[in-house]
Amino acid sequence: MISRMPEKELLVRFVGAGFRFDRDVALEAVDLEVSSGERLAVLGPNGGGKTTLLSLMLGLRRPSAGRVEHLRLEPALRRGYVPQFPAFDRSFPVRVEEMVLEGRLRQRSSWRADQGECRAAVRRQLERLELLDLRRAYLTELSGGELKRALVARALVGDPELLVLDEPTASLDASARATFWELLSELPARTTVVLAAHDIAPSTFAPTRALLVDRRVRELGQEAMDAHALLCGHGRD
Amino acid sequence: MTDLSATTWLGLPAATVLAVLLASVLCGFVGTFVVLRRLVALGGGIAHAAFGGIGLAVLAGWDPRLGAAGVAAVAATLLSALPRERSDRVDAVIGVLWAVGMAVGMLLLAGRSGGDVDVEGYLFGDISSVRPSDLLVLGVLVLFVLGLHAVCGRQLVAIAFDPDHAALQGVRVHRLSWILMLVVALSLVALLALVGVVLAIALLAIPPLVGLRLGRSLPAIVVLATATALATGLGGLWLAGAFAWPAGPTVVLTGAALLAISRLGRRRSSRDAR
Repeated sequence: MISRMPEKELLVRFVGAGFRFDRDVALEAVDLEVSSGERLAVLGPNGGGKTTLLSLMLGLRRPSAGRVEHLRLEPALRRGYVPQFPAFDRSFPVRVEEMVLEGRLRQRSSWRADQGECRAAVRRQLERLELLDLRRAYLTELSGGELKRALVARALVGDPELLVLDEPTASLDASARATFWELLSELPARTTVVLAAHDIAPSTFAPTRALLVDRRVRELGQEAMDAHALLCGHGRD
Repeated sequence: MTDLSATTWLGLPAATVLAVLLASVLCGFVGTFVVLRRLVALGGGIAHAAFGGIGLAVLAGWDPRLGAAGVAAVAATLLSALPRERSDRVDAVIGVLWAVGMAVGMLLLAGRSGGDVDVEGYLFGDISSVRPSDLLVLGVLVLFVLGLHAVCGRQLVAIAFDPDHAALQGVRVHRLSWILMLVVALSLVALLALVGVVLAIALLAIPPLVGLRLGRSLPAIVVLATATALATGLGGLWLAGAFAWPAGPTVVLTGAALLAISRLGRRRSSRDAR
């Protein structure tokens, strides 16, 4: 019997998109398509516009030139995001389990929502990321690595179809990194993963495409991807 | 039906006690969001801009509260419409609103004090002469705020904590932020009747700061802030009556004293408890 590959669905399309902060151009003339099931590595120097690209992809910012089309509107695309630097105030009175539960806000907002199932999903993620003991802790009581793990749990708890990760392994220790890469490898094949990180290597994350972002976005060929993997050899175990 | 103007509770006019009770609920719910979203300076700007609205309304022969509410709502809308990339300009816009509102109000009300217009009352409040319409405004606002929390409390918390993440979860962040800003603006206008434009923002800031100091979870903070606002209002009014001090400043300084006392203790970490 021949198994059929699930059909790819186009999720986001950049058409000549650009973004500027006042007079500083962060990105320009970006043409890019992102489909379901892709594993996209986003590489490039600091200040090259990687985070801006991810924000546009998620719809958190509007381009100042061109357009970014989010093609799945109904049912709304489930999006998970681990920001490089959280924009929230860590002194906000929220416990770890409550923050992770926010990753299910869309589902919980429906009157038909199974609140028990949402809480069970939070517990599973906390357990997986070794945060169960810290579930009642407030964010000010977490270390940088623990907070990062909580952010990963929040991004994963809503079963995202588009998962965007901006330097997710920064401030994680070796054991937490190993757990994180394992979690990524267990995601369903249909999940689109977009990862900006400096320690991408074949043993940790095997991208289907790689983008080099430095004000403009260029797709890297297989050779360049291999060369990059060699350069950041510290990712190899 | 009981005549509120003739009845006294706790030695204070019943209408005043009722006004303090309703204002305390606003301080607890709205004030907590004002402090958590760091909107205190913005609230101060809106309250002072509202003074310009009072001047305009008096000039036009309308109810001054109508002018204050109109200008406060416009100011709140303008501030919430500032694009994210311009958020670094918010403090400058607040400063301009603050000063221009006061200047317009003072210009339009110049020479009216002592006549049919109580300028001092608008600046520093006159809680001893709460009118039934003040109670109605406060009551409607409290009902709206409680209803808003019941219907979209989770979304309000989400945008207060992490607006970007809330947007990813389908929350209409701009619309809800605008509604929240309108509620803050109208709460300030309702509080003007009690403590005036100069002191109103203190009532939205001080009780939640006490709540944040003494409570850890959000519901506990809201309850503690409401209780602090009640103690501040009633305690301040009692002191003002006992020592013949002006009511508005005494209420605010009572709150400041409670805030100072709340900061004496040491906070316990929930990690310590494990």
